[in-house]
Amino acid sequence: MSAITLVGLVVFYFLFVLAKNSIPGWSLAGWRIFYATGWNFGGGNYGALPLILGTLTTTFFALCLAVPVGVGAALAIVFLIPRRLQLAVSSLIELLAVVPSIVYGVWGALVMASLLGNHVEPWIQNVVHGSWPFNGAPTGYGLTLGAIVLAVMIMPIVTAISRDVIVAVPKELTEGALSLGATRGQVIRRVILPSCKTGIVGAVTLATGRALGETIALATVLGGVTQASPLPDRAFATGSTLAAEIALDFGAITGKAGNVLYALALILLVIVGVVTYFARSIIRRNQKQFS
Amino acid sequence: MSTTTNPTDVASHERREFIRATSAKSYTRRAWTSRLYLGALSVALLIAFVPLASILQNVVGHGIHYITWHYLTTPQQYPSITNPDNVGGIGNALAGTAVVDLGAVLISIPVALLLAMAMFEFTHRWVSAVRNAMETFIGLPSIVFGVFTYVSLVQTTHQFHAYFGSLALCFIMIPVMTINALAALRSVPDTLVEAGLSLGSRPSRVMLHVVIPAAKSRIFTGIFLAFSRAVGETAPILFVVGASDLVRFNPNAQATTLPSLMWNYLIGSYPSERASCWGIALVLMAVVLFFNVLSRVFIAFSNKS
Repeated sequence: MSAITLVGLVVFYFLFVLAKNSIPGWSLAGWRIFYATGWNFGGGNYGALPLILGTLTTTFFALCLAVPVGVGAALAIVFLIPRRLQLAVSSLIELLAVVPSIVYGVWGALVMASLLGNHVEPWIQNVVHGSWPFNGAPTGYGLTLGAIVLAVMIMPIVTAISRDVIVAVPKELTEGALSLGATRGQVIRRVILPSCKTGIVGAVTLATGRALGETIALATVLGGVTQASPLPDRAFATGSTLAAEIALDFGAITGKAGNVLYALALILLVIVGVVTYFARSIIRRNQKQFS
Repeated sequence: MSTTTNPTDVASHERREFIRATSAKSYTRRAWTSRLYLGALSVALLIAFVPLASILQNVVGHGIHYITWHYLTTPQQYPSITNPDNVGGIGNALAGTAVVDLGAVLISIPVALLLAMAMFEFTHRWVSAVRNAMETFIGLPSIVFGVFTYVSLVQTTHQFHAYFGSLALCFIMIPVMTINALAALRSVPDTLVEAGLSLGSRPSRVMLHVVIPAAKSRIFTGIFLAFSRAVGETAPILFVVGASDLVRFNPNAQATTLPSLMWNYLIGSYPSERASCWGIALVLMAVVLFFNVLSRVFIAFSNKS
């Protein structure tokens, strides 16, 4: 019993320490932290709006890429791969989930950045004649690269959980639909997806939590908030996220400035905490449905 | 009586004809839509494999020629303008990772096991509260644990130690281990527990000699899973372990770990440093994969027994 009380105390202490230490940061940065642009830690500009927006946009576009591919791959594993090979194929995809995030950072910065900057982005600009949102110099580094790296990181989470939920759909539902003459495509569209909806939403919310807090993989691929790119308002904009900026600026802490980073950590914690809470309640509701 | 056709049979015959005709009319369209769907799914599966292939190809392709005994055992060197290729090995980081992660495991395993046993034995509203806290902790960004450890340890002592890194990693490992160990304990059939109790054994004895042995392999699965996740973590330990270019196994001294060396090389300014990242990445991936496969082996083992 005392062990459990102890953990409760640790959790409260954890929140207390972070909140207490961020107080000087709040007073140093003021409300500007929520609405001002041009974050520059060394120069004393604590406008964190580009960081908050960078966190939200990279996560949103990563989800746009990862969710269709992840759910599609999960459906393909269950319906198209022979049962004997299913475990092997899904294990291979889940391999992506155990790759350390720093390795994604290296892959993104050393491989994908030059691929995007030298080939993909100039090609897109040629096609659309440089119109918004594909205007500005293609640098490779930036929010597009960040979204792609994030998408690769969260896709296995979506696939793994979706696969578990799809397998848990009662056989009778599928067989009933097939016996009524439905094609396999109709079964997936009309039977499987509706009955997996809450589970897949749970998987997506969980992946969102992971994406919002990703630090190391993003820190080296986003290019930073610069004067030329104060806000993430176009596809090739460079920028940063809350978590990545904490890691990048931690080495340059002087005086009270460090407390501003703790304030960033607290903002991030609140965003992620809310998202994970909803993810868990959705997943739990879905588990009750079939058990 | 029975020679005349039943009027309801006529209706059902016509209904069947109608259904068959309708179905046949739309069948071609539905079959093609279905093929389109399944085709899209196969494409999604193929796309899912592209990044995996690219990462493996790059990590193995660029990293394999770094893997020599000399690279693994000698400490890092510092490149300079006159000697830009002088990166040395990763011996100090390998030793640092061993110290930090071993320390984290040694702290986490007893704490997680005790917690899981307490949550298994007691039914108190605190139990579900702690479970919720653990699950929330699993989903929190790991950088927050780094910031917390920095604030509560480095800032108060003004020192860096390898064991600070171990403590930071405990935030990652303990929740994963506890949740898995609790699931393992709960998977032991009640009949076993009741049989033990009915023989007059004390609950603690039943726990130690019946429940834990039966749940052993699933508990190990959780331990290896937590370990494979913690080995690659960079953000929590980056600010708290300091740096060391000596190959030493001292938890009280500063340390450089594999992920933190990789981070320094990645943001470093010499091409030789960035190239060396691939060597470290290969070593790191090998360690992580080894423990992940080990956890899967234990899952398979526990399913069999």
